[in-house]
Amino acid sequence: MLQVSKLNAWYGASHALQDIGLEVTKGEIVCLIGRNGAGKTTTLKSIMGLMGRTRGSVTFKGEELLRQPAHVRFALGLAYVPEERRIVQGLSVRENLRLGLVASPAKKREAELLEEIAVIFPRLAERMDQEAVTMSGGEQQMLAIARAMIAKPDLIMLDEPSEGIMPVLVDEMFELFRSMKAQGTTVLLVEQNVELALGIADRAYVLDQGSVVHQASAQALLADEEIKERYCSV
Amino acid sequence: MKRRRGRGAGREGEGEFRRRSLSAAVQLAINNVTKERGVIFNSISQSDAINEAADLSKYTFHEALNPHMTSGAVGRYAFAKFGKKVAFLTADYAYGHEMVRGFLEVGKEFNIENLGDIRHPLGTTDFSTLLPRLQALKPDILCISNFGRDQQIALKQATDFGIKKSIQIIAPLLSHASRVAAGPQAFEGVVGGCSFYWGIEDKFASTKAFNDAFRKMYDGKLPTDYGALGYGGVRTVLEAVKGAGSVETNKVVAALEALKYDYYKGPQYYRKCDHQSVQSVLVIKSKSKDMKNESDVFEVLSTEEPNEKYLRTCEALGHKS
Amino acid sequence: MAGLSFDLIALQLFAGLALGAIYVLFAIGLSLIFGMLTVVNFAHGAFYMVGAYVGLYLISIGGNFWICLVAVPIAIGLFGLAVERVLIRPLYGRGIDYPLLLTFGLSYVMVECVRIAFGKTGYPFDTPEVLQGAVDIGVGYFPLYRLFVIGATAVVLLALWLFLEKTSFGLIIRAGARDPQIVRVLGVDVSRVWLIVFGIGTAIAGFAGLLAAPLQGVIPEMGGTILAEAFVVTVVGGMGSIGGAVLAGLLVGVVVSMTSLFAPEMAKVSIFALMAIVLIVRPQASSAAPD
Ligand SMILES: Nc1ncnc2c1ncn2[C@@H]1O[C@H](COP(=O)(O)OP(=O)(O)OP(=O)(O)O)[C@@H](O)[C@H]1O
Ligand SMILES: [Mg+2]
Repeated sequence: MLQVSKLNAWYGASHALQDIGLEVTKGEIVCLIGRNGAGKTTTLKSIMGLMGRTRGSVTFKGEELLRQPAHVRFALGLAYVPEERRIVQGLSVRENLRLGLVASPAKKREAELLEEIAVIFPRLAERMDQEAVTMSGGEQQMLAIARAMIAKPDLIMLDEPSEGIMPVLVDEMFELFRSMKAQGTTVLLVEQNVELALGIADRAYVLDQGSVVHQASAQALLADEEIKERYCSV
Repeated sequence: MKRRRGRGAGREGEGEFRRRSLSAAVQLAINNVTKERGVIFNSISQSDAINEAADLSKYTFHEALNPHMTSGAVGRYAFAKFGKKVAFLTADYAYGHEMVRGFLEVGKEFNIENLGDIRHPLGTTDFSTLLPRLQALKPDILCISNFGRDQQIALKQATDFGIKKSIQIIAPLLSHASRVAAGPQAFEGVVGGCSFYWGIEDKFASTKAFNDAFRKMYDGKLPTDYGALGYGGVRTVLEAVKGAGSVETNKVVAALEALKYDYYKGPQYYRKCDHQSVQSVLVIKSKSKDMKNESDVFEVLSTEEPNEKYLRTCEALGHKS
Repeated sequence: MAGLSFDLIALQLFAGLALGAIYVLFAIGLSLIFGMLTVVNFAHGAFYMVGAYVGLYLISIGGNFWICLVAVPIAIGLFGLAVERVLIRPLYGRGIDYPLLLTFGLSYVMVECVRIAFGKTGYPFDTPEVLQGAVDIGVGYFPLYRLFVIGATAVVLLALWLFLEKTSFGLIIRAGARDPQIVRVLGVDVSRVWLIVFGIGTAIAGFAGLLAAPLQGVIPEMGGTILAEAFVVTVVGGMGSIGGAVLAGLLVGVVVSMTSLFAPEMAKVSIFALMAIVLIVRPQASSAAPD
């Protein structure tokens, strides 16, 4: 479904990604792991079209995306939940959710989709008309995920969703990813919490200093203490 | 008032004459330079200061009316006819101040009651916040002393506020160009003064001749007040040169001082002490109906004949008689 | 001078609101554009002026004021779209000074073009016949047309509010003003949004110019004065804040009006005094986020 090959990206003069190659097939949960500064976020941003200077190839459902702006990638079925969540200040929970639909053809079914989301995220359902930024960090993270999911993307990319969130909520969240997968959504997940992530993932890529240094099935990697020690310890 | 001391205009010697219609400050600045260099300057914009001994030189002539004459003529007409309670709306610069001074001076003869004077800065585009106050004073006459776009907007907005229903608006000077730019509605019924209106051609052969020549030159158009002033300012100097048979400055000055002329509006002459052109002042009212042509914008209500008694005395201006 | 009656003060208040209404219309466009595009549109006054001239032209070829109320904002809005697309868009990402200088220059070009096409002297602009004259509003006579200006402004504000609060596009604008990146990630073509916002802002400026025309006639320089005063309004209200622009616009109108009552020669200065006070008391005011 998603194929990345020889992907390079730069921040100004600094060469952040070097010849990244990875692949995600339909229905999988794929995990990107690696130390701080390894290039995980930059990889997701490059796939979404948010990096200024990139080279290489990113194809999604057979279409080359590298020269396409972000909104075209969204239209093809890519969704992205950034690390900083980006809940819009001044908007209610409902409005933030509606924002996930404004550019989607599914906008016509807005009421119906909002109800569906409310069933999946009961915490949000209770707070629909509250100003979104007044919610707790975990609730805001849920909202960011719900906002990305509401238009039913084919592939959703999540950047460290468990960061700074209390364990109960994290469990709830990972349960959600499992059910997403069950319903056919493909997931590309960046996580610091390696054990937890590998617990639900099918496969994983290990990044270090802007390159892919290892790839394996989640099970194999869970057992590989050496790799985990070398690239993932904080 | 701040005067710019202009430089670089005119050179010494003979054969150069200036004629200008400009704002008071620029006019006085030019006057300063021409005075210094001994160049004849015939001014066609309104100023009282230019007649005063402090500013005048033997080279300065004033073909235009001055505020004292204009407001005097309009005041004498209006205070006798419309009532004694007068409120003022005045542009806050020399022109406005001099006009109000003139109105108050002539107002003494009529025992007018000054209800108040509201000053506004030059370039005001909205008078709506000043008009309710003026209206509340309930004057018989509202005297608006400003010029150009300020006057056009003030009259338009006063009309909108319905001030004309119960109050007569007067203005010292109604210029042809402003009336055309503001349209008939805004100026309707406003009474003011002017130095020239083409419509006096029935009365003076010189006016008829000037209008005809002008029509011929500018495909049928009629001259305006400032068009006529420009003509007068140049024509007098030209005739003086011819009369003197020389372009030597002192001889031309002497010829101008001796000139008794009637080139476009009836008889005129320059008063010896201040070189002010003694001339008639027309009191006019702006029309909004029965206009025969595009220049038919005013009705002449009365004419104040040329007479030195309507000027400030030479002594008052600081000249030794 | 005569004493201050209740009626006079009430009348001044109305005069202030009518005056403020034009400021409000002018400033909301300015704020909308700044909030969304971070472009300080120095040509806003020129769009306002061209709005008045388009109205003048339409009436001269047989249109009436009511047609102008619809046609002028459309025409100026389309013109604004073209300006954004062709002139401003290439400058995004280069810092705030580029579009500022461009629009500054553009305003001179627009004023000069109007001078060439219509002449340097102004024209009268008749108040539409049914709105002529003054009506008794209980505290005294007030020009009917100025009441209409207050009403028309209220209608525009209501329409804009409904558009921003109740439509998806309005939601995009509100979100995009805070965080253009996330809006992009959620599939919105942000450059299209910027284009349309510029069009809406300039359309409202054109509408304001048309409304102002019967108050003061039209002249090529008419946009200059209001631009300076509207910047005060946006500073007082918070750059980019639409709600702030509305409140500040009315406040400036009322302050000018009340100052005129007590010290008319201070009226113009009072606007800038108000700005100074706001800047001292609330230094972050000029960079408030939009509502
Ligand atoms: N905006 C930026 N400008 C310049 N350099 C950046 C920027 N963002 C990230 N980098 C650099 O690019 C490299 C990759 O960063 P990236 O954010 O992709 O790492 P990461 O794997 O997501 O790390 P973390 O686990 O801390 O989120 C790092 O060296 C980082 O310092
Ligand atoms: Mg990261």
